[in-house]
Amino acid sequence: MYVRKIPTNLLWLRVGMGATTLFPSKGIESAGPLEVRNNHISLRVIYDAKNKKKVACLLEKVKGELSNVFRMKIDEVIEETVEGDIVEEIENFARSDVKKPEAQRPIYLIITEKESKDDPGASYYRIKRKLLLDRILSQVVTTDTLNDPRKMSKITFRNIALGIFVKADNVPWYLQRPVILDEEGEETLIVGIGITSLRKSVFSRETHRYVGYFSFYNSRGVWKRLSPLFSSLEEIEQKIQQSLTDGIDQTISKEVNKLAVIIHYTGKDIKKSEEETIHNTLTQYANSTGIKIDYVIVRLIKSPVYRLFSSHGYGYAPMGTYVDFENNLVLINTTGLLGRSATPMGVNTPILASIRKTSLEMNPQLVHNIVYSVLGLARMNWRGVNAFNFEPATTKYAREIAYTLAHLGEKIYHNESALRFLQNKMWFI
Amino acid sequence: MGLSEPQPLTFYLNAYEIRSQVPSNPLKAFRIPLNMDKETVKHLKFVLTKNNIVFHRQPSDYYEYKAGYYIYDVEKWSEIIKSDKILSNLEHYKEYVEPISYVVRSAILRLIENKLKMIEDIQKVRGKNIDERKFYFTKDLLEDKSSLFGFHRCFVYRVEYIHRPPKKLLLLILPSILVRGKESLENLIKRGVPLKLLIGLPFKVMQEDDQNTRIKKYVGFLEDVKGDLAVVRPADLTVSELVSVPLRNLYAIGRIDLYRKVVEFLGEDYGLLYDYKGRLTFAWEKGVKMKDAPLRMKREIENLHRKIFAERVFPLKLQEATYTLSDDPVSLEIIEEE
Repeated sequence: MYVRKIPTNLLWLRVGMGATTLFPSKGIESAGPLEVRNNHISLRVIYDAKNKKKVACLLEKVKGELSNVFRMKIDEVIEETVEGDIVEEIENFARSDVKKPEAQRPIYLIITEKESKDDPGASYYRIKRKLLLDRILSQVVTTDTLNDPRKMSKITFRNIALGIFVKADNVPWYLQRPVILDEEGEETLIVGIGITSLRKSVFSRETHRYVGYFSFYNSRGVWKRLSPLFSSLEEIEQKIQQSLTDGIDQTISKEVNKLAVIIHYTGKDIKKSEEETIHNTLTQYANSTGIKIDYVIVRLIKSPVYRLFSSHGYGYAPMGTYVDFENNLVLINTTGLLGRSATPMGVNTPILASIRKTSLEMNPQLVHNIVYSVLGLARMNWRGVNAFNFEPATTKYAREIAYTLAHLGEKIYHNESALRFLQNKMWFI
Repeated sequence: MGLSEPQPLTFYLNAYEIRSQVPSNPLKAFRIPLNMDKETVKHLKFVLTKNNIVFHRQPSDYYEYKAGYYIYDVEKWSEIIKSDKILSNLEHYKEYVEPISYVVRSAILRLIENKLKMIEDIQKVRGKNIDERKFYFTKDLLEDKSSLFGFHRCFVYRVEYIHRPPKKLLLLILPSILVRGKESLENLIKRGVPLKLLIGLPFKVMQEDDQNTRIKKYVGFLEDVKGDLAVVRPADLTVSELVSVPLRNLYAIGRIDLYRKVVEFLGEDYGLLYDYKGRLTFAWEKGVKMKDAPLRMKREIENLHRKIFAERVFPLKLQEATYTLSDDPVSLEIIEEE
């Protein structure tokens, strides 16, 4: 058992004008975002009429952030007030927008009542379902943000602007140093897997179907693609094989000879046999393409009982500190102390990484690289400009993606254009 | 300005070492392999629980230890199986187990649990995690101030094993909070809370199955109220059907933020609940971030270690082995690399 710390230079992020930063908010404020690929968007803002004044204030600030910080132009803002069921009204607006070419469709900024995202029937998922089928992106803000003076702050406006910026296919920042698995790999893919088994009833432990996804990121932590997965119990191995192979095919460069694949997943739903399937898929892929593949499969435990303290100041352990228990378990402080700032609220929870399977020999350098893959991807959460993100982007959106996919159902496979949209747009951020 | 020497930084885990005073003497155990049918497993688990047997279930081979149920109450078990045909037919292997090993983790967990259950002002929280236990202090910190929620200090503990020599058993202690719903949906409606404030909220649902033999507890979202029945949608992606449950079987869950309007309707102080939640989770105090949160949590861990585990639980006895708990938490040191 030993403790190490990822060197601070691995925590830097690249933003605009070749600048680097530890703090995304400050970094993009002074140097702009990394890459603006699409700087013309239009917004359709949908809200309950009773919130008109507050929405006007929010909108002005978000527009300010988009133009001043994210360097984007907003071609048009259409405001829509609704009085009835917001989901039904959204359907009406979408009907006119689907007539436009996909690239010209507005991004929807929707203000809804606060509700629990643990509720699979929440209007959030119903909205996402409807708009995804129409290939329209949306950013949802809840009314508790409007009603809480503490939340109506620059950071909130910047986060909403970031969501819109990212959905418009732009890149706010990426990792200054790429994630690698070993020195030999030419290219690294980091893959997030979320698979949920569906039970038959409240009283039954028996599962009958699976819903899930494979999400692919490059070595700089930039999201590339999502492969949805729906499967019966009998077909799960075949479906895992298909989703993983398709994703790799679509994501890696044509000329790569040596590929490293780092797989993150959470929860208990992936069993030993499915880990074996992943191993077999990668082996078969390597044999059929002639690409040498090294891989590691890491299960991330998000609520370990462990906490890590330090003798420094108020007791925060620095971001990037990790404890290797030397039994394929590593405790990683993904948040904590960064420069003079500390995790925003309370005692930070570390992530416990269980290294389940690898084609490489376990050694401290491999552990270090795996830790950096988790930490780096935690720095690549584009939902907010905060520097402190507990969970890597690879697994962060598992619930939103699974719930939305469950709403869409397997019929999405028969809707080619919606499926393509789902696979290539960052709708879940 | 000259270059300063790198400063050693000390790290602490919320973990204490569990030591065996006679590490050379192995423990005796019966190992029952896992290859049995579902009904036998059910029966075995029932007998183990009913007789409060100290055991560890090892799901797969781990170094020199084979998978199986490791039963440490050897004499008691020998007596039990004499009169139990199903169990006496199972294969029993005599094993010798190192007192500090992976396959004693759950045994120690259970021994600790047995001692904690004897302490008057704490109670076990029922949970599904077989590797952890949660206990709460029965004193409701907001007894007179909230009719909807009970606020209790609580703690989680877990036993971990480190295989890398020197082999170690660790006791992890984590202070926490238990927010308990005290009022049923039936009473909330009787007290005049408008339905529009309740629809859509998550509740703890207690549902009897069709034969009224089992009670299933889960979180569900209130969809509607029809007479004495609540229509609930289980908060589980896997279950799509709506369920009807008597109003008295629904209780508020600890998401006080979602219940804010209900709390305010009842004329109670939401700010007070919010503040207590912040303090007990070491997150905020009087609406602002608790800057020294890790130090406060560490002090609470030391407090729990001293007053509960060191004074009331340890030393523990398992056959000839006596387990003691270290005085200080596990600490690790590095030189900062920059």
